[in-house]
Amino acid sequence: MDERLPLLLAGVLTFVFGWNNSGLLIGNERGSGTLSALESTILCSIGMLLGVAVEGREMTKSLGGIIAVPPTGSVVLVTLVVSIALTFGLTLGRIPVTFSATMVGAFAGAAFASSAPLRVGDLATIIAFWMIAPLAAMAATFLSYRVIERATQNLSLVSVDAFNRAGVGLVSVALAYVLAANNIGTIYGTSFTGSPPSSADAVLTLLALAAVAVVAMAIFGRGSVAGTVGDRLLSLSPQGVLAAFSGTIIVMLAATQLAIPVSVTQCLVGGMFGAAFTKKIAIINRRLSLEVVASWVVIPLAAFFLAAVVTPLL
Amino acid sequence: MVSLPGVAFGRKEGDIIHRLQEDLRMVRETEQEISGLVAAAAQGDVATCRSRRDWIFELEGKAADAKRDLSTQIAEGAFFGGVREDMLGLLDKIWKIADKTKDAARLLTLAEITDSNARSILQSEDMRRFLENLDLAVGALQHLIEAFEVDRKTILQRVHAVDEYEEAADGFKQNVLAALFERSRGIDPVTVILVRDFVFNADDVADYAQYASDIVLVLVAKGYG
Repeated sequence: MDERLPLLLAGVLTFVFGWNNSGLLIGNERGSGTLSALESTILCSIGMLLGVAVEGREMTKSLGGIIAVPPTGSVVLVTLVVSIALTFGLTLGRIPVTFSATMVGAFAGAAFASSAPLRVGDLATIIAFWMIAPLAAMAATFLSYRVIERATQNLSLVSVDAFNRAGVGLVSVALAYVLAANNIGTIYGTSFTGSPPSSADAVLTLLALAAVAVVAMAIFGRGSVAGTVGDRLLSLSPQGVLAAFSGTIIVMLAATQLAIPVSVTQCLVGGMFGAAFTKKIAIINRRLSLEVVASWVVIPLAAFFLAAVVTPLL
Repeated sequence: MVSLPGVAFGRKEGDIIHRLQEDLRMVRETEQEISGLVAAAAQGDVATCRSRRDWIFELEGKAADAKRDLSTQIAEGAFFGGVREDMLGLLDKIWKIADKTKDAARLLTLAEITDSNARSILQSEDMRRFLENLDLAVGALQHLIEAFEVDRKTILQRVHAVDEYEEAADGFKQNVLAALFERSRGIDPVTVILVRDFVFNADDVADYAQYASDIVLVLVAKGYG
């Protein structure tokens, strides 16, 4: 197999990843009314580039760690192709994709079909983290909200708005940072079969991938998927967005340190509910909530079976 | 304002609030012309009535322009997240104060008021107190908007003052209308209608000040999360 092919596919997948998450990052920030599209795009780009440069390599072994032998070329190819197909298709259908879950599902499916021995314990740890992540983000958001509430209660209305704008700006950088570190790091970690490249090469490749994601985000970051998660699920105040982003960042940062691929959608949805519960919210789009939660189960399973079917064909 | 050395957060918001205060100052200036207009109408001074009416129209026009500019600035900017529509609503209610002043001025100058009973009503203590409370309600709204740069507690303390002056104006309006209809037999029906409609439109000034203060409550509820 040409060594450049997985890297090319990783670039394509990163582009689709940037597209899928563009709305989530830029859309939510714009939706909160605190940042313009341009400000949001610039801040997210800085965060992404910083994230992959500083922490992207933490995720190098994230997927490879769930099988007992090094992944073969076909496992890598199938993982990337299935992830691209599913993420692309679902993004076109304006369905929020649990991106990392799709990659893990596809990788596990390809490995299973290749008869590579799965490390069930490691896989179970990842799945357990996915189940805990929304709840942890919810709790972290709830606490963040209370802290923000205390910090702003004696400020003037003008200062509260300024605080929100500065806060959303900061968490935008931080969220893009952890998202890129975790998810682009996972893509990169899946794009080679042998031993990892030198750290300088790795950082350069990661930066190139992040640049691809930035381009996609800038092109497509005018709404779409963010509308699904943010606007249609429930409506949040700027403080709510600030707290939900903070909760998400805490959980994703922890996942990155543990080299566990985690979906920003899962964390952010948990965070949004955490912010909503601080106000005892009564109106929630139940149908959409169920659809989102169901997608967390259905999409990785679909990726698993699709990869398992495609792998023997290669 | 939140500030760090060399960096000032809240500059955009502060600018909007200062423009809002300036807009409201102009609206109050418009509203404050009513008492002079009423005094001139009560004395049958047609020339002064017309010049005051024209001045009110001019001030209202300036207030409308200011409102339009500020609305555009708020609509296009990335600030006041989550409360932008309410800010636009507040601007609209503030401008309505000037608009209703204009309507009241137009009515009072449609025809010369020659009837002595009608003139005495315009000169009555109830009318004076009615107009005074309209002005106090708008003044209280000005004071309330200034609290945007203080804190939530101060806003909530000041919001009730607008309601109190609006209620007081309502009471004096009732007295003026009662006096008008008590003496209406000797007054030309057109004059009765003119004075009655003037009172209703003038009363809307306090009502819109109150509507604006209601929006301020919404801003506080949403703005502080």
